[in-house]
Amino acid sequence: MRALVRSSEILHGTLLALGLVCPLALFFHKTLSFENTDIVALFSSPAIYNATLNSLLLSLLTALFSTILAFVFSWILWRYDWSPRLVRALSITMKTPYLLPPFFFAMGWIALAAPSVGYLRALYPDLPSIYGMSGTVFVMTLWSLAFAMIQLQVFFSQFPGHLEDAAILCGASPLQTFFRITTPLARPQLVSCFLLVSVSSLAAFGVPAMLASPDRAYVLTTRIYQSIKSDQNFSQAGWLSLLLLVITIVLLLLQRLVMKGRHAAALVSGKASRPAVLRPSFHAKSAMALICFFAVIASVLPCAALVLQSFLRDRSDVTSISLEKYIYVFSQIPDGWIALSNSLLTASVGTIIATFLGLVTAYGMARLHLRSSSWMIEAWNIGFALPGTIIALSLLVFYAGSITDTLWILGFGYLIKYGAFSARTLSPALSALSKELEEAAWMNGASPRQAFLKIVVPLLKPAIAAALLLAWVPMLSELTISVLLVGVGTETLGALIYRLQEYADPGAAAVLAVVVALATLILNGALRRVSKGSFGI
Amino acid sequence: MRVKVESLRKSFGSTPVVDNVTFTVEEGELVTLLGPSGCGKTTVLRMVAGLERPSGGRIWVGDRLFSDEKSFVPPHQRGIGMVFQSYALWPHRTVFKNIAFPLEIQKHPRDDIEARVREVLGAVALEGLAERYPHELSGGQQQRVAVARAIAQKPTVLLMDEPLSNLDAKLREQMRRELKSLQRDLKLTMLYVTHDRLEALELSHRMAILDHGKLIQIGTPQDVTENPANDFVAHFIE
Repeated sequence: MRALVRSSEILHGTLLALGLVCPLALFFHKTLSFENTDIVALFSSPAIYNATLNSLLLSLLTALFSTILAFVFSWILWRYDWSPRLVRALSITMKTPYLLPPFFFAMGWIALAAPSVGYLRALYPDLPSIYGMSGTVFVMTLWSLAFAMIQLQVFFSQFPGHLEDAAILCGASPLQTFFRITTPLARPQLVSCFLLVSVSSLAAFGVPAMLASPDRAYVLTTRIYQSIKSDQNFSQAGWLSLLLLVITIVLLLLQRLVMKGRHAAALVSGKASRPAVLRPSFHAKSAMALICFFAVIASVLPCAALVLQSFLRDRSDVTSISLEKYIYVFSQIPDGWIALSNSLLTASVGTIIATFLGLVTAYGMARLHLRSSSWMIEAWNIGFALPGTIIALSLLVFYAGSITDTLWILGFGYLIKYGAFSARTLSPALSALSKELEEAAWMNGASPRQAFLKIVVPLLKPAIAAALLLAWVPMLSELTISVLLVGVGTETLGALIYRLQEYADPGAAAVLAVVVALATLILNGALRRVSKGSFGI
Repeated sequence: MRVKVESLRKSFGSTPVVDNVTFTVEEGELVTLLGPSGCGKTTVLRMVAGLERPSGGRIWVGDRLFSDEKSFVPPHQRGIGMVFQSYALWPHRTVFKNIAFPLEIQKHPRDDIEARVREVLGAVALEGLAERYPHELSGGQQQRVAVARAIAQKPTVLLMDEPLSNLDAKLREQMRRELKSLQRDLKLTMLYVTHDRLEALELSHRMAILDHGKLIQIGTPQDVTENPANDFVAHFIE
């Protein structure tokens, strides 16, 4: 088994070296050695200054709003005596956006609230336009709410509820326990969640490209894209990437600092437990109504708008329902099938490699305690934290003239960015599996490899399925890396949907988005059923 | 087969947990390792099993040297059976498949596997439960399956790591009697870890008392009770 782990580590290390370390090193070396770049002029230009400010605003406001809303909503759902069905339905509805790329929600909101063509704008003409920085923050907040709720769910599942009970018995009201007991104990998790959401929002490309750029508001990622695609200014793209990287690193270091040694803070006294549930008061019921409203605007409305748009022959006429767009996309857009097959191929191969490496590396770390395996997982986490724009640019520079315009470079990019999902899912699952189950196999004559294949792998089947799904879904409709790396014949679903939405046919883009979303939701449902609710959303 | 442990040592980092332990278990004998939590008894058992690599000393089973400074036989090549404290039953395999596992690994013909599994199921009084999954069994039944799986491969030695500690008092008493008769009927050489002195007194041919990684005294229950080596033993066995 050790030999298998070692040989897969060689493969893993080679992939990381060729996909992450060397490309990044070369990219930044080239950036720093560009001559004739007036850095002071570059960073003091209003355009770059605004892009940086917009990026920070987008990142921090999105993180602030989504973390606060997610915490309050999670507490209300956890603390009061609601119907379990209602809680489950709301929880699933609010977390579902995490399964889909954020730019699908931007497309949904364009269909709903774009000037002149938005369905909601037809009903409420005074509704503000979705374009601009405020619309971008709004959509990113709604999407990040799902991410933040998933993060905070872990906190509430481990929170000793009797701490709230003790406060209630001391005469505190539920609201007082929330502010004086639960919130202070949740502070490290809240700060960590805030920083993780801000890193993810800082790296966002699709939503600002669709909602902010049309209003001539740019963030760093869209400015980098513009520098490459329109201005052909690699030096500027390099320096902006460096700036983006520095901000990302600062946020991640802060997150690590906040969480260092703080895991136990929320688990101050032993076992997790539910507090005695409270009967909903008038205020709690009002808050519940607000949660339902947010579930509708975060999930139901944009998805429904996308579905409706995919069935409309004429975008501005909601009665023109037909299958015309579906027939058109799959029979008359030659790129449609190419994009579908390319995305399926790269996502599937990338996912299988990521899951295999993730499983073996997680085994090396959890069972054999190999330091090299921990490093591999750490390097993968760095890849995950890096903005996709930087990964794509560094690959472009490193592989210039060789594998650019092939699916290899896309696969590399996806693997570096999303490979961490596999190890992140499998590592805790493997740690949770009692080592004695494996030792019992050894004591019954099985070699370590036989024990791994006959005992560990079958017991990890649900986690392996989850790892496959979690890596496959973002790779299938990936946008940020794809828009920079696709070439002739290597069109992907994400890039094609973006191109159709921005320049050609939003209805056709909606068709592809609906197909991808449907496939994702069906797979997620199947995974939940197979794992009896342990995995999936 | 006879088990011989000689000058066995184990350290985790700079902390010694087993310090120069020497004892033998004769063929067909049941020896218990008795001591308080953290005294190193489970570590000794795991070193005999091959699940931990000793820092020093030797382990023989029969004429075969399993472990010394230069050589180490991995657990799957030792032919030793073990019952874990948690039972370690594989939740994805039925009772039948749990017990059949060692025989499948040894590539026995299917008919032989079927016959042997039925035989050991009879020995532990679990006929009729072969197609159940572990979670469908009571604690006592799970414990019997763990024993059945350990003896299915006809091990040279059977190791038991506090196998009764998860059972209630009444069931523990019943299982003690059953283990005793099973050991006698099958003439098993057994090394048994427990912190329960009553269990040790009832089951053992000889008992070895450990404290802080050192073997303090080994002898028959009567010897140890009547002539404790020091105050610790006297107090512990009281």
